[in-house]
Amino acid sequence: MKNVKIDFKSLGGPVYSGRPRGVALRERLALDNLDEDQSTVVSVCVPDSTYSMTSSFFLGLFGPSVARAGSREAFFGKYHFQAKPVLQKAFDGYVDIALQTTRLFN
Amino acid sequence: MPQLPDVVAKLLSRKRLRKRMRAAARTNKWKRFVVYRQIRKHQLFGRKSKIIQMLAANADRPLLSSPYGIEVTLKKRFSMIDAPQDAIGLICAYALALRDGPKISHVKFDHWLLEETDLAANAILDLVTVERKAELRSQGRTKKFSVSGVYPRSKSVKNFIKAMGIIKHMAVKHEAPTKEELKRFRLFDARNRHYRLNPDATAADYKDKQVEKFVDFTDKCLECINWGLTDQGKHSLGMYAGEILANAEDHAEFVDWSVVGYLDIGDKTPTCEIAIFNFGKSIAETFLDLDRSSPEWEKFGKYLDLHKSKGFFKDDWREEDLLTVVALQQHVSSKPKPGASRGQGTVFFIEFFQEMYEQCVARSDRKAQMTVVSGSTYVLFDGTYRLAEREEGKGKVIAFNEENDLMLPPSSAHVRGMNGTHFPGTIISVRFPFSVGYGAMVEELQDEKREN
Repeated sequence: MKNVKIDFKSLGGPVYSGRPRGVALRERLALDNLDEDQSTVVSVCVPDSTYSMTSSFFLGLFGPSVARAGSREAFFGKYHFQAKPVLQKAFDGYVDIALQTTRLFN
Repeated sequence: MPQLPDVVAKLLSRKRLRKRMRAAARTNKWKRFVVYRQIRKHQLFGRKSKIIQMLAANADRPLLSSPYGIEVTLKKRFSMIDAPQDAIGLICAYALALRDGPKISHVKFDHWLLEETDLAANAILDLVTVERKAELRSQGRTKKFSVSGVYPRSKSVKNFIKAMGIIKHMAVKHEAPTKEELKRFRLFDARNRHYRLNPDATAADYKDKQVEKFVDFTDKCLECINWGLTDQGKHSLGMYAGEILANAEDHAEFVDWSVVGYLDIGDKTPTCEIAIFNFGKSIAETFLDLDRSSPEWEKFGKYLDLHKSKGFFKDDWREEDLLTVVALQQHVSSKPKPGASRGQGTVFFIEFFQEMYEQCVARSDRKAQMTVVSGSTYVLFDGTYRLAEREEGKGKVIAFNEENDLMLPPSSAHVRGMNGTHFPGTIISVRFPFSVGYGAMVEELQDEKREN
């Protein structure tokens, strides 16, 4: 099992916002390639000094990976997050949002 | 005439040649300069302020002015929360006078009658003045742009004008508050007018840096009364501000946003004010641009058809007002993508506001208020109607009516169309009394933490 580490300490914090930045970072980190490789586990370290990570940034960065995983268990099985509880809880919500279909209008 | 010796004739000929060459070089240099100047003239962005042009296009009346100067007289109330139509009308009329008066280089602000004002209205009025100054500078005008004015009678409004109004924005040094006076204020002022987004995703862009500072500003405000933001509070505030600014950059098609904050802790009833505004397309306009056959438009079409068929639409409740209200709901975006949720920013912002409202109103008679002015739609959040989940898992809804049902028209006191008034962009204004209760967003600071 290969282990790849993404450390947000070197990715310009403490606020992460905006879908374009998330998408650009996804390309930079080549997450599509990591998603293809089933044997790779990704450790995502978010330092305690981080204030916030918006849903649009998170979904720009990890949205396609969540969609590809298909379930929260599968996604968190591949991506192991180390963050303070507030952010961890927010990430859980973002993953739910990504998996949720737009049902407001149905 | 005696003929010159050959030697002399030769020397004269060379001298004339050198003179002709120097003259030709001078002409070429001038010609090159003229061509360069013309190229620069066409390349310069913002030589004529686009913001002034946009605002002027929405003016319904001109402001009286002379060819070289203009006087802006503010009435008793100049507020984006309490009287948005009057405020936008004055700002647009001022912009029109500036657009049509290219020689105007002096503005007099008469604040004498002003008693009630708010941060958003003042910040936008000042921004127009700052744009004019930049416009004249970029045109290479030698004559300086200047402002003068009359202070209001109200002391707290005067303090506001000095600390966060035209005195600050035009850097009027002799009227600026002293360092000692500034200690009573907590100020935040950020504007993105660089028109460029950061291409490096691994570094924080300007937006994220300002959001960080804005969170710190709010924390500093709370620190004045020995309180501070919790991790949850920092996360929520950073998230809503980040989402709103990201939306402004993504959707408005014109990157120029401002975030301003003001608190006068020396005031009898301290009130924290925050305003976020951007120029460009309004919320409704971004949705009106959608392809009518797209699935996203179909979702809006359902509501539009129903409100049309039931005859709900009238002068102060129009299609664009409905589009703005629907856009505030969870999971709504004009740029849909699989798994994308661009409507989240506004929802999170409202969530934060509701939390602040709950925590502040408990100890104050004054209500917290938030307004969204977008295009010609005015939306008031005063805690009467809440964002709530109608059915589990279907996202949160705020319909501004008792039933919390988007199929019914909203309360006219909370959502209304401002016929005849249009702001080219979106303004979010927040005003809350500064007496904080207990809740998840704030915590009382312990000595250790205060020292840190």
